Amino acid sequence: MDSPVKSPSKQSLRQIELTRRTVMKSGAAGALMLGLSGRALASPMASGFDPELFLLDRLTFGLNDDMLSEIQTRGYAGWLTWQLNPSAINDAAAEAIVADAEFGYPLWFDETTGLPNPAKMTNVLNKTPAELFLQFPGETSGTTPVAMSALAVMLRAAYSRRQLFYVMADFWQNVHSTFLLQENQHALWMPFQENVIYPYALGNYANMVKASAKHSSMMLYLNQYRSDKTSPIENYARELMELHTLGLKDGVSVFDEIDVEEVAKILTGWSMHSLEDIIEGYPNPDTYGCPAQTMDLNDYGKFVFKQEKHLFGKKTVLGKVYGSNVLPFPLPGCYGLSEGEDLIDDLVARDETAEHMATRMIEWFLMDDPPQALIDRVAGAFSSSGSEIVPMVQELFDPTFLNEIHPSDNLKIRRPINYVVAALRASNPTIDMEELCSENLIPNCIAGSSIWSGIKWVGSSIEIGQVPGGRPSPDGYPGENEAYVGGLRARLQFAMELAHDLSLGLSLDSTKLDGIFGVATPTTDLAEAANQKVALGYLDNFDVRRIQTYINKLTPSLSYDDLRRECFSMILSAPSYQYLH
Amino acid sequence: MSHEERTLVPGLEGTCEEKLSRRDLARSFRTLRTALAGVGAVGVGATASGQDLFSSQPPTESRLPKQQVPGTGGAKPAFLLSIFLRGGADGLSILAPCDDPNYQAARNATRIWNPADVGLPDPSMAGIPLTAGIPGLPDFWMPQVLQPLKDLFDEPNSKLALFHASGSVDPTRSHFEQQNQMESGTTGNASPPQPSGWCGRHLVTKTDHFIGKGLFRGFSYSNFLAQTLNGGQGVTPIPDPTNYAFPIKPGASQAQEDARADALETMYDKFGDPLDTSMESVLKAIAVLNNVDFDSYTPATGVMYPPTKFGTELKQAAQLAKTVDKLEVVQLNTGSWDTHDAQGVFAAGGRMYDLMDELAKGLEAFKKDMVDDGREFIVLVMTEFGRTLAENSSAGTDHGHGGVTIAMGTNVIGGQVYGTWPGLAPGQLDIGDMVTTTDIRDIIGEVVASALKNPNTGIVVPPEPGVYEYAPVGFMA
Repeated sequence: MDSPVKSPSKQSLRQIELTRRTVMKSGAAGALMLGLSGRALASPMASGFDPELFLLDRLTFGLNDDMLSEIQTRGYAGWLTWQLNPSAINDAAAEAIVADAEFGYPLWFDETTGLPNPAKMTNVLNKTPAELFLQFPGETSGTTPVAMSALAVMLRAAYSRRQLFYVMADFWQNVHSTFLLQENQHALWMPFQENVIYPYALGNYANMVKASAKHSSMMLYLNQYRSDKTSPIENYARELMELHTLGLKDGVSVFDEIDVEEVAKILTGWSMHSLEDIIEGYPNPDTYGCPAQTMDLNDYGKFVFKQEKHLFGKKTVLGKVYGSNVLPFPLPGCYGLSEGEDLIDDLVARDETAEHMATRMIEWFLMDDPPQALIDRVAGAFSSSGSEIVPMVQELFDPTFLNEIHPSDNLKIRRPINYVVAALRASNPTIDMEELCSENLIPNCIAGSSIWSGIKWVGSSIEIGQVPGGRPSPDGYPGENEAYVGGLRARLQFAMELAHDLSLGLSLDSTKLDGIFGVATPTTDLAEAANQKVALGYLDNFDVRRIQTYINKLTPSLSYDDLRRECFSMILSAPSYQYLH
Repeated sequence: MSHEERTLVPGLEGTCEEKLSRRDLARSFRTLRTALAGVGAVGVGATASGQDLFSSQPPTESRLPKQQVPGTGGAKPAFLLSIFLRGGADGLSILAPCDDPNYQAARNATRIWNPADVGLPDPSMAGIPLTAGIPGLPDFWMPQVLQPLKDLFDEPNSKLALFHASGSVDPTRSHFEQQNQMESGTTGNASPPQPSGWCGRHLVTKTDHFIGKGLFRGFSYSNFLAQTLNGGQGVTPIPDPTNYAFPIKPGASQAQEDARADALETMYDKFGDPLDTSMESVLKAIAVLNNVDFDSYTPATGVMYPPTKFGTELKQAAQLAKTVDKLEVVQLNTGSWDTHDAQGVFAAGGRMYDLMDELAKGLEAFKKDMVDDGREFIVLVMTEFGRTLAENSSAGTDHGHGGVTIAMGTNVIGGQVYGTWPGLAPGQLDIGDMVTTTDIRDIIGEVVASALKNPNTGIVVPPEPGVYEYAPVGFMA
């Protein structure tokens, strides 16, 4: 079947449009791309759109040979289905890299001797808050697990084969955002990722909210654990509605300040076994909470419903009544807890939540200012499935609707984490963890001007504007493009440092450069070769030609490898590379 | 109408019923939002093409034209230092009506005392007197940590003006909504959340100092451009101006550096906005900042900036104000002032104490450093809201409404506390919090109109027909 490349009109939604590239890749299976339902893909745009590159750019942290090969074998729909079942994807290699980064290199230094202390060297993964807190009790020692937590997330983004999963985790991390640099979050933030985000990133959203509400990281971050009946604290109550469920539409909320007060009252008693409880002694130090249990230091951070701090009585939120003015006698131990659990279920079930989450997801992945029809579709998938997340992703990336969501008029910028990680995925540098904390850098590893200076490429991401857990405010990093256009110098600086081996702990040698450009590529073809590597050739033609002109100018005075480095750096610096396909 | 006559705009008390009318207003002003949305992050062609920012169609030319109306150069534009206290600073701990029985009853660990009062729990809680016997105002004290501000306030020909019960007239207690509203110079009533900032719109409507291509008119100390500056020409976020070099491999030849810069400039120019203007600002900022020797800067005699990040940024801002004529605005943040628990007003190490300490010492240093330089300056300090009148059970306060604003500058009529005192009795509060009687937009508008000599207040702090229109407070000479 021949399909000459032609420019479709927007009306011809059923027209099959193939680029030369797709024809070459599809092979004998024919020129048809099939949607999830088996219907022919409607490809809306003139040549210059590759649905598979689009999917990889949006649902991975950056193009690499492995994912490209997988999508070429499985096809668009097949790749999506495969990635939506992450537990079936063997990720041992990535986890080995992460574990090696944690175990192999001492980043904890004894505060007395100033020497690396292998006995205290440990990882921060799969630990309880108590274990992390006991391991790193001080503010200085807390810098190690802080750095390690962010590094673990960045390394998984770079190396994991469960790309879609970690991309979704990144999204939800920003919806339920807590600040890694808050005091004591070094013991709480990573457990939050492991117990709230990862279990539900492709699961049920109501379960995520309930887990988030009860987790120590959120409890501490928004002061919830200290909220009691004498003086309910509104901080978490507000963000539960404003950020985690109902949201705002056009700056207006369906809830008002009285609702916030009432939610705060419902959540009184929602607390944790806190440091204050441990240090100062809790009124019932032996047995308390719901269900009643004895708690000690090893239970630091565990959720506790402190019934005696709960404000009983009727509360009304958005017209619905919670609690009662009539209480049973005697009072069962967990009585009162269900008010908050019912509240969360009700909030998640509301249409505003579906619309809010749909809007955030579309803005994060596809476009600023999404059209209402698209929001409705994705919100509908959320609502009709009972707040399941996978149907939202399937709806959002349903290839049948690529017309509607194609980004040619709706540019989506590469966010800083994606920018840095994509560069790593494209170039596959050697990461030398030992160099990150060599003797010369020991002061930087402890504190210095920045705890990130020992992990420079993570620090670069911060300078560009984003790092896991790095957002001080609970609203998480923004989804809109314009928030990120200012970090240009830092992007260019990182691209230059990566390409020229100036980024501590990352290095590219001739073999790595061969991996980017191909072996013995003529200097006159370097820009196009890099274009193929990072964007399958879809970068702006003008950018590629202009970069080649620049490389040609330098050719007499630079070595072949230096030319390749400079070319790679400039490709990463090109304006069209700052946007996703 | 004068600011004394202004009252809370009806319909903004925050009940569900009243919110309905707010939504209707929001819809009717959507065209305003669409028009202003075209301003975006990097400027608008509105002024150059004569297009009205308020037209119902979004500007068709969203790209900043290369050739601006050439300016005369002339005198240096006044320098604006915009400071945002993030988190909601407790105004009642900055300007405390110590003799007000409602204040006394509501505060405990955070209560500032009239030193003459019997029962003063600790000497550290005794206030320092600021104003007394002013008709219409209660007597005000400050906590001792703010002595440098009191000194600025008391000196003859004072340049420090204070506003209490000021801020947004929108009653939302949400950080994000309020910061957005205040930085955008609008309220939730006027229009939905705005991308552009009041200072961004100021910059695009005041271009008479612009000469030539490539602008570096302002920056915010941040990784993200502060919303205050959104939409402005020649603005970029700069986390550290001492570390802002052109990205190129060290040791590269000048020829290569020039070729690289040319390639980047050409590509971004062709690609267009929003990246194009951002790149131009970056390149210009790099060129300017590379010529500034931050290490060798000596402030004016006797000036001591606090040894914190904020203090360092203030010092750098002063140096840049003195040496970079075309740099017009620097935006800084401090915080978090969001003291839900352990507010810590009276002792070093306390959260609010430490923040007030660096703010007071920093403002004092900046003023002394700038006052004898030939360049006019204006400092505007705002926060998204004040905090609850009542202290909570954690020795902290929660989100409130009316708060404190500070203005300091060459032509500020200082030594006064501006604004109508609304009172703290139960019937005078908004769900338990001091209300706003001075709209922050009037303060912003007067800064722009008077200190920055930009008459376009209709664009910088847009009117809401029948609801709001800018009128100066009267704190500028």
